[in-house]
Formats: sequence, C-alpha cells, structure tokens
Amino acid sequence: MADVHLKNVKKNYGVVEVIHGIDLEVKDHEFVVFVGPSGCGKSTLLRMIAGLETTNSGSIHIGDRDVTDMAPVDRNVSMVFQSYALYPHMTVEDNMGFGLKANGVDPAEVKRLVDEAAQSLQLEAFMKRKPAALSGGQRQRVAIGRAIVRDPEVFLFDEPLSNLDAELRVHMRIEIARLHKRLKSTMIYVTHDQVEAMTLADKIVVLQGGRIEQVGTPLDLFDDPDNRFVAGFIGSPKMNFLPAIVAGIAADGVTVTLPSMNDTPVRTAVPGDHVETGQTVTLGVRPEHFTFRKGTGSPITVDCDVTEQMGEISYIYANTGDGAQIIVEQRHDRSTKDGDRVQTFIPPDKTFLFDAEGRRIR
Amino acid sequence: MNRRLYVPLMTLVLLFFTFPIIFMAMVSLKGQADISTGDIFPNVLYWRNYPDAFGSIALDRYLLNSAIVASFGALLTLVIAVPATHAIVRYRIGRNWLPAFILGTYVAPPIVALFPLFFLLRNLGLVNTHLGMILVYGVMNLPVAFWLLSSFVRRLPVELEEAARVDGVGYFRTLRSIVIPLLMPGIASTGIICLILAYNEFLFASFLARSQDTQTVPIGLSLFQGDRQLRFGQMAVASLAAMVPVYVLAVFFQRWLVRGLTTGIGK
Repeated sequence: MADVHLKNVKKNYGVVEVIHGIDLEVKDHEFVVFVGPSGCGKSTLLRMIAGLETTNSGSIHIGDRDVTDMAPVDRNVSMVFQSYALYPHMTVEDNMGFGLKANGVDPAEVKRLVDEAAQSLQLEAFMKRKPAALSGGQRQRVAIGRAIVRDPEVFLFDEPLSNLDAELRVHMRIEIARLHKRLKSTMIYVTHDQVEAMTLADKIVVLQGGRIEQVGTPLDLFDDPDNRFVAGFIGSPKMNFLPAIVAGIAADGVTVTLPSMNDTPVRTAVPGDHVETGQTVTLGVRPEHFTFRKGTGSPITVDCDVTEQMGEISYIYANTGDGAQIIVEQRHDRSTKDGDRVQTFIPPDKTFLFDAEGRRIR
Repeated sequence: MNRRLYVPLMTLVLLFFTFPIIFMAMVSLKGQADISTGDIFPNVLYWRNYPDAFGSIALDRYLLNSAIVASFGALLTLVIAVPATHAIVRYRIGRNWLPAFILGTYVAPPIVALFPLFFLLRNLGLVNTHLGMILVYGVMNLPVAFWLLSSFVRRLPVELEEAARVDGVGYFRTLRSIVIPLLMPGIASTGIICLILAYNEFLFASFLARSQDTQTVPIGLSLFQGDRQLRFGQMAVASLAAMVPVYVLAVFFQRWLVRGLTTGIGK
C-alpha cells in the first residue's frame, strides 16, 4: 500500500507561512496533480513529501509509516525534477544506476534493472551517451528511468515537462500516462499547466496561497467548481467573469442583469436560496458554453474586437462596457470578422454565480 | 574595433604589461657600473651575471623547496576548502557572518599572525621544516580558496545534490561522485592560484625557513643583497629563472585561471 496522507501539514520560512495546514489523501495507485499559479506552494508541498523540505507541523504518512521526519531515501519515493537534474559527467547508464550502486546493490543486479528500465523507455541506444548529447525528450526519459529503477512506492514529478517544446510536451504527457498505467504506482505531479492537469490526473488538487482551493476529478472541477479561482483556473480559454446584480428570483433560478452590458438580463439555473434581490454577484460563463441558436438562452450582443480563427473553432474577443473582455467560442462558423456585432446566447444551465468573496452560489 | 587602431593599441598594452620583465632581462645583462646609469638598455652586454647567479646561490634547491611547499600547501588548502565551502554555501552554515569572517581574516596584515604561528610551530618542532610551511600555506590561503570556490559552488544546480539525496546517496559520496567532479574546473583554478600565492610568499618563509634545506625562491632572491651592495644583475637573472615555472603554469592553465577569477561576475 502506498497511499499518501497529509495531516494539517504546515511550512514556514521564518515568520512567513507558505503552507497553511493542508489535509490531503492520495490513494494507492492514484495519479494526483497539484496545480496552481506560481508561488502557490505546490512545489514546496511536493518537496515536503519528498523530504527535501522539512515540515514545521502536521504529519506525512506514506502507507502506514509516518515519514514526516525521515530522510528522503527512507521514504521510498523517487523524484523527477523540472531541470531533469541529470549528472552531466555521467553516461545515461551511470545516471540511472548511480543511486542503486551508491546503496550497495550488486552491480549485476544494477545492470539488469537499468537495462530493463532503458528498454521500457526506449533508451537502449543512448546508454553510453552523456546528457549533453541527448535531446530534451531523451533527457526527460532518462530522468524518468532513474526514478523507475529504484521501484519506489511513490513517484513525484516537479513540473517535468515545462522545459520541453509544445509538441514534445504532448508526446511526453502521453508517455507519462502510459507509465502510470503500466507501473500502477502512486504518482504526484506538480504543474502550472491546467491542460496537463486535466489530461493526466485521476484527482486534481488546486492550490492557491499555500491553501487547497478544491480537490476533485478533472471533470468535477470543470463542471462544479467551488469558487471563482478554481472556475477561472480550470478550463482553457478561462471562464468569463461578468459583474452582475441579482434582478429576480424565480423557482427555476436567479435572473441577473449585467451593468457593463446595458443591464442586459441573463437567466441562470442557480437556485435563489442564498441570494437576495439587488445583491452584487459575479456571473461566470465558459467561452465554449455560448450558443448561437435563438431560444437556447438569454441573448447578449457583443462587439467583436478581435477574432482568432483556429480552424474548427474561432474565438471572439469582445470588450464589455467596463473595459473588461469576454471570450466567446464559435464552432463551425468562420464568418465573424473583427468589428462585427454578434448576438450570442447564454444557456441558463451553463452559468455560474459567485458571491463577493468569490464563493460559488449553488 | 578598427584594425588599424587595434594593432598599435594592443602593442602599447603589451609593452605596458611586459615592460617590467623586459627591464629585468636588460638588468640581467648589465654590469654593476652600468646599472647605476639608469639606462634601459645595457651599454655593454655583461653575460657573466648568468653563471655567477647560478653559482652563488643554490637556485635549484630553492626551486625544489618552493615546488614542495607550494604544491602540497595548495593541496592542503583544497582538501579543507572544498568541503568547507560546499557546506557553508549549500547549507548556509554560519549564515552571512561566517563567510564575512573568513574573508575578514584575509584582510588583516599577515604579520599579525606571524609570531603566534612561529611559536606554535616551534613548540611542535616544525620550524624550518617543509611540513611546517605546508601547514602555514595550506591554512593561509583558505580565505582566497573559499572566495574563489564559493562562486563555483553557487553555480552548481542544487537539484543534482537533491536528486542524489532522494536516491539515498550519502553526503560524502555525493561530494565525491557529484560535487567534486563538477567543481573540477573551479578546484583546478583555485589550486593554481593558491599555488602561485604560496610560491611568491616571502614574509612567513623568511621567518620559518632558516636553512637552505627549506628556503624558498623568494628567500633565495633576497640573498643577493649583500652587506655592502645589492647584486642587481645576478638578482635579475635569478628572478627571471624563478618566474619560469609560474609563467609555464599560467600559460598552460590560462583558461582555468581566467575562469577562476571571473566566475560569478556575471550571470
């Protein structure tokens, strides 16, 4: 069993607290992604699990062992670093086998394990090369190989794909997903790229300012975000947020008006139990949820500032009255040009409302 | 730069830096009377200075002594400085005060350490021995070595050592197998600079080396100063000979020396 359990884990540098009492359970074989903006504490949290950072209070359990004060090696974890951290003066073979050799594993056994890992990662042809003679993707595979050979209970990945170009990133993302399927190990992966998080994770942990904002499956977070931060962070292009005022509360949902768009009314399916008329709220609509068929929702008219044609879809960037911008996705229609006035519809069941503190109104 | 300007400008710069050596070479060919004229070039070529210089002092012995104490001294400096610098820089041992304290010791005039060191070595029976001088030079150059090595250690990505830690590699094995091989250019340049500093050292050598068996080149050169006159011509010959090893070292290891002195200046 290699589940990871964080109980009220805190970390501070001097008087500055960077991790504020985090509780989290990562189940055995689960692929968990820590996601959040720069400085949210995701890498610090990963390094605390690795044992590279001390934990000021709380406890970290791996399996049934309390590893809070254990050295990294005793935790039986492997880590893949953002910079790969390959030893530049050693060959691929030595890089992968160094940890085993240094721990006194029999050289024949080291060779067998290294060869096995190299074969699974298609690295056999590069074993005598040094890292400088490898491409970015190959180096990344060596870093993963070095993690595999030790057969750890938990794999830790610290933004492993951020140094790769876009194409290679997609390729390596799929390789990591395959690796997880094959090894069935517990994996914890840190990224600031929400696409990586959505595609790889069984469970996403969204962090901000050293606190967990929400934990859930990728689709849970997408469909049912707890707050404005998660709603904005998950999904690309990000959700549109429009200042709104509650204008009416009916049995089938709340109606709001948009001051920045000439008080246009927008019907939502949000129940009115926790709002009152006149309350200032924020309306959230994802770009892909706008429709162009009459009768599918509340109509709004936008003046197209810039359009981005992506082939199958195009994005309309429109300015609202208060200088903010909304993004509308249009499928199978390339006719909209810059400067066009476009009528689009907001389906009530695809809207979100957030209160002044950014909490979701359900 | 304009090529027409480049050549004369570089010739001037070269002349500026090589003038003391050229002047010394000229003095080595002057007789005692010629030297007092103050002319740059000798009026009469006086070759006798060369056999006289090598005949009057045991230059080969001084060179050997210098080589022994300077090279082992530099080695001792490195043995202490490499792990110490790594630990101080990496683990912030002593925060800011320890690095400042180490460098501060180098700012003090060396003569303040002379008498305590002399009595310390005398009590240990190490005055007038190679070992005594090696110990002094090994410790004396530690601040310089720390200063030079610290910029190399800072440039070493910490993730390499962290990767080793996660892999369960101990501190000393990491130091031996990861840190030292990657610091090698820095270690080499630091070693050479410490060696040159020890080779040129005069003050401690003049007190600690009391006989020909231990006296180093700078002491040998000072012996040309007689009771009544200074034998400038012979002294110039010996100085030229003493410069050769240092120059050879500097030329061969130029790349590393420059790296050692410039690392950490820019990004």
